Amino acid sequence: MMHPDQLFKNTLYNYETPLEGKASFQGVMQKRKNKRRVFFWFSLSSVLLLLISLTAASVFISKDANTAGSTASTGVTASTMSRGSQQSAENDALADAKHNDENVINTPAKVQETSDNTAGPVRMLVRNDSKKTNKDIINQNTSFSNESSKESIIPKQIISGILSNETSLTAANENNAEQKQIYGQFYDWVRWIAAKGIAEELVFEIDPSEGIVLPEFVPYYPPHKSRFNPIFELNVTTAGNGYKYFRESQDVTVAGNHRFSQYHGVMLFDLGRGITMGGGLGYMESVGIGKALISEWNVDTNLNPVRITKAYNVSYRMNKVLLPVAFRYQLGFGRSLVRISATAMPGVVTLGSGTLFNRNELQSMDAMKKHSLTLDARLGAGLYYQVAPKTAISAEPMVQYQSIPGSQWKSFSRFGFGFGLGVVFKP
Amino acid sequence: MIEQQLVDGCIREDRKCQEQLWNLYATKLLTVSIRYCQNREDAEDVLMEAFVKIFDNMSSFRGQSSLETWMRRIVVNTSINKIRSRKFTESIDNETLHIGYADQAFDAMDAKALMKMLEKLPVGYRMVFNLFAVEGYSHKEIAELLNIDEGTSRSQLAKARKALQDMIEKKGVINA
Repeated sequence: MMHPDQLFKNTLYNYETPLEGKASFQGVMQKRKNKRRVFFWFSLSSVLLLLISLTAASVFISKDANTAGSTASTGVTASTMSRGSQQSAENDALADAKHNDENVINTPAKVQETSDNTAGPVRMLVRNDSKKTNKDIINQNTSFSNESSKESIIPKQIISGILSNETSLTAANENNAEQKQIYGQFYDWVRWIAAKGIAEELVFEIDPSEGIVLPEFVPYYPPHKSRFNPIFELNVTTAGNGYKYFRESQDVTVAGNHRFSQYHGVMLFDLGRGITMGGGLGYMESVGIGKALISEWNVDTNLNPVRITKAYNVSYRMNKVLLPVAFRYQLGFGRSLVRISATAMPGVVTLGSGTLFNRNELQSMDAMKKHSLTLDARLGAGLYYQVAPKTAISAEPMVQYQSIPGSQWKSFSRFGFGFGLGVVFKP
Repeated sequence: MIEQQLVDGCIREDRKCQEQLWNLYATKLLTVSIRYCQNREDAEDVLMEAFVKIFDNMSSFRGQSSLETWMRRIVVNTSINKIRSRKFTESIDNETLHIGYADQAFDAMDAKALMKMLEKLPVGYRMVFNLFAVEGYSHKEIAELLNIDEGTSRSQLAKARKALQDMIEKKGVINA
């Protein structure tokens, strides 16, 4: 006599039911194909939607930033400009452009005309008209003189040390429209939107020794022989960011952009559940180019104080060797995956020249220590596709953080938005 | 082809290995899904869906159990999900029944007859009985899997046994 449970188990556990209906291997493969197709288009749509959202957000934010006014703080200017050094600027050959700032000085309207006996026919006209705004005045009736200011608070030797060449204010104004067009498409800041287009599979992990099954979500990750076998990834990324923060009322404002190009190779190890981590070696080149407006107060004992604004071209170049520490998380099934990647990249500066700038800060890279340590990071989310049994490619939009060494470390950190392409090889 | 070669082949997306895996296990696993599902059509759907999961997740097979056990678990869970999606809910109470199972008729049962009996059971009874008696789950595991109390699992099993015993007795009478 057999226990009924045992009877059912013995009889049914290995019982085979012949396939008669629609169940077939071809059917299974077709189902997989359909599932992958849905996943691929879903992922692609998510990434496109993310890109469109970021673009739309950047346009919106850019417009918003234009009307933000003079709320930004002035950084380096306050610290680098001192009255102690102002007298030494007397003989600086840079051209000064004078104009009124009604927000700062509130003096009766008058016109002051100065002629320069030593510089030929160049004349300078300063309107001190309280009815006109700073911008109005900049856009009209401003001419130039190479006359030095008597009470300049700008340390000219510093400026001449960090600025590459001079540009007339008029020229800068003429370029405003162009600059708007060029730099208007970048961001002052952008909110990062994490879109999670994730499909997870319900699978049960088995431990026969305990005979227990606990449900858990096991995301797919690309197959390889062992989790301890290394996975090699080569990655090329490019990112950039721009400033269009041209404010005449600020001590220093800059319109310009930065570009980073980065190449790195990492060796990753599988930690299970779609997570891989590892480290490697990388190289980054970054350049920046822009225009800086520097304003100063010129206090003449006989006249009311006026604000002087100068425009300069600024640029820098910096190369780094990086030691990336990479984290990857991939989700999906089949060959198509969504991958989230985060990489921290401590590094060493190997080349630095020119003038570093943020939207309201300038600093000569000469002050930077050679071989300064830096810390960069990047975060990306995109598609990952297995093109061959051992090879996959990745394409992902990303945001990159770059720290730039200097006396004011944090002042020169910045974000860039860009795109990364990678090749992953699993031997 | 040995099991490990089949697994490696499936990870490489080798179609021949995948087909061989299907040929080896499809009939056995269809029995599993039929034991849980209400009809054969659903069972076949479950089987195909389970194989899609098996092929997609083959790389997560760690070899801690046999391949068949791993695949069987996937089929069981896919079946339960299918049943849930169909909203096959049973009213469950905690009544405990005493069941005597001494019956000569049991020994004479063949697989088809037993399958028919299981098919006649209400879904709740069938799931608990299959999980406990055939698959070897404990009441605690069943409770976690089906999101019910352990006591409920026990009472469902008891009721299932009682119902099966009744069927066997009837069949025994008819056979006699």
